[in-house]
Amino acid sequence: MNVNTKAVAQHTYDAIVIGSGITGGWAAKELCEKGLKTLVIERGRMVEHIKDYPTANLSPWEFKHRNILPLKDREENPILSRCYAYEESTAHFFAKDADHPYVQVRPFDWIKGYQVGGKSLMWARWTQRWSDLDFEANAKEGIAVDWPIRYGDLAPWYSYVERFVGISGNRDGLPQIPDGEYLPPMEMNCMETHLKKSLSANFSDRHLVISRTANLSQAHLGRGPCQYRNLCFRGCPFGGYFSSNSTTLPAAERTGNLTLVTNAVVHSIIYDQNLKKAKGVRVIDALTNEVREYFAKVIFLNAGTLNSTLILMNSKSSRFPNGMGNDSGELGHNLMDHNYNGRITGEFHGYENQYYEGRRPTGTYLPRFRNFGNDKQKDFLRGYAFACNASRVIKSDDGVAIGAELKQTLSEPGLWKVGLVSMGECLPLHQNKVSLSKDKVDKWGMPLLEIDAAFGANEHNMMKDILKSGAEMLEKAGLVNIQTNDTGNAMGLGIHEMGTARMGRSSKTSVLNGNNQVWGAENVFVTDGSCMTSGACQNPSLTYMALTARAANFAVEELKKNNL
Amino acid sequence: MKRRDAIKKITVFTGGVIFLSTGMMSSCKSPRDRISDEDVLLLDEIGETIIPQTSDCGGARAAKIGLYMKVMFDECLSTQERKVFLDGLVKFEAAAREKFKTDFLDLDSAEKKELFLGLQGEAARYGMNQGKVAGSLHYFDLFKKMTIDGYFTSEIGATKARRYQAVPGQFKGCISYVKGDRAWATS
Repeated sequence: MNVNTKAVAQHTYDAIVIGSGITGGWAAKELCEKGLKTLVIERGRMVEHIKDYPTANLSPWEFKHRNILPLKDREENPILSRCYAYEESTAHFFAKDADHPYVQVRPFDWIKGYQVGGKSLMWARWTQRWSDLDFEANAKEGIAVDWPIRYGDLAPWYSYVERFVGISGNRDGLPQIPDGEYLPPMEMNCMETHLKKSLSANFSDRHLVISRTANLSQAHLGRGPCQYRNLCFRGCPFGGYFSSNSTTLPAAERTGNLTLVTNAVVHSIIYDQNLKKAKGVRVIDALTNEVREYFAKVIFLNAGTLNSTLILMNSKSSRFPNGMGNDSGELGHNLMDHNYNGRITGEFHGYENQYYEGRRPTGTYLPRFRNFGNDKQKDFLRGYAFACNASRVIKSDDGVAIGAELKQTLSEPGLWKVGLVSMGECLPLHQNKVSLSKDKVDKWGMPLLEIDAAFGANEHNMMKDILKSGAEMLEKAGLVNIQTNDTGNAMGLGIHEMGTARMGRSSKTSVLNGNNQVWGAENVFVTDGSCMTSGACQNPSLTYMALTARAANFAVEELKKNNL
Repeated sequence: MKRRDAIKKITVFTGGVIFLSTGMMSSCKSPRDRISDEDVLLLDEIGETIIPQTSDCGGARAAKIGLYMKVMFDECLSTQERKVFLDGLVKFEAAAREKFKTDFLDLDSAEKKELFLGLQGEAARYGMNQGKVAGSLHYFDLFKKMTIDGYFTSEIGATKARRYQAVPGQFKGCISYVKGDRAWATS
């Protein structure tokens, strides 16, 4: 490649951020606000807040297929079609199976959103903090490696991001989900309040709370408030929830320091043997296949868990023959997800004179109670939380065949129904791994990722307890017709892929240090889900955001000291 | 055409689906390989029988249920459901003629209702007998489900039969409910 001096200068920034999703947006905002000329590289197309939300204001009857995906689309996207958020109204935000193949050594559903904003447009927005129950677990149990940080390192950064994101929630005083900086909580309905009371009365360790959620219960920093439409996955014209598009990228842009390039697939990070650090990023233009290079003093890798690891693996040099930061051999290993496969439902006879109004874009949350406090399980480590939702379902048409009576029946709410969905922690297992295909490439010539992972014995044992405890709790609350189900979904469908470039205390056993710097290329920071050393059972995005803000602050301090 | 009619008669006579197996169907060109404009009118009538106009709001015909079913048939139903749907239309018309010696469209509303109640019972028995067979589906259940889904996601169904708020603006966890109040159209 012949890159002349002028082109190098034109392509040189203070910082490069790879990816514009939930962590890339945060890295961009922090670095721009601290005065760094920052280039954000996004592999997909532009999605501008509000302007590019084509379905945001459509009513059900305005969709040709009433929000059902056509058969052809489902057949062409068998993996994507298993994702609960993939609908006619949101299909334009999901990367299609055929365009982005990967190899499944064992079944793994990889759900991708390739556009500006990434999956922050369609995330579920639940934002409980992690605690030292999570950060200390590996060390206490001798699993994998110890986290190089503790809750105390992250607590101020949780507060920092919460204040900007805008999180509705209640300060519940529960140590396993430490309290944060919250906007007013959303209300529970009467069935949820009933369940909360029943759990408190029957189990000293079970506390149902309203989920802390990145939806604005009041106007916040020029956005929102939430209008209770519960159509978040389409993008919100009110800015009622947090996404890169609505919040961090506009903040970065306001500084005048942001440059955003789209349709640029990152090929690799370029390592400079003389400087002993990374000097830039090589990209492939997604539309023309032209190869370009960009240069910067500091690089944030926020391509999303699996793509960040793919990029590190593809960043080979004589210093890093097995992929950047891979002195330990751990790059690609310890892939995790959350186990959402446990489903428990029940019906309740009562509260017939109670209903609700508006569509709350969140649910209630039962924090972890297993292997915590006085509870000790012999069949599994760690624990699980439950997402809990109660609503009145439409009356059943059983026994009503046709006619005016059927119409009337189906026009009224019926019994209250409660649904629990498990969120089980998944251990970081060395054998759950990804690697680069030796012979298969995508349309840009990038090697395909081979994913070889599955839930293990700990997850399966935990699932038995999930179904048992869930049914017991609903039974004690007076629900009937209780059904339990293990959906048996493959890993990946929790869309909480974590690990594969873990943080740790030594370059011999991890890929990143306690400040998310790549061992051996310390001006490269990885702060998306790939950095996670364990998985906890809380939704992870809030923790990614806090880690990103913390690392960006550290990076700028180090730049000032000429340490990078 | 004559051959197709003969097959249909045999089918009705024996009450089974054996003669409509793929081998025979592929050897004759059936006009029931798609939903025609005439079929849309028939489906409007089927839908209206399932969810009729009432004093307070329009029914399935007003919600253009026939067009909805055509779109869903063309683009959303699985291959297996499409077969059940097409075969079902043939069986449905035959069932009307067998019971009332006339076409379905010529029946009065009481006769239509009687026919449908009979089919509902047949579908229920079919469901019980076929329950262990994966994917077994009686055409009447398919017609009914599509009518219900299409009607309550239509503008009339969502806003008149149920209650629809495009922009609620607030969430109240507990409001009082009086029997007869309509359900929310979306969750």
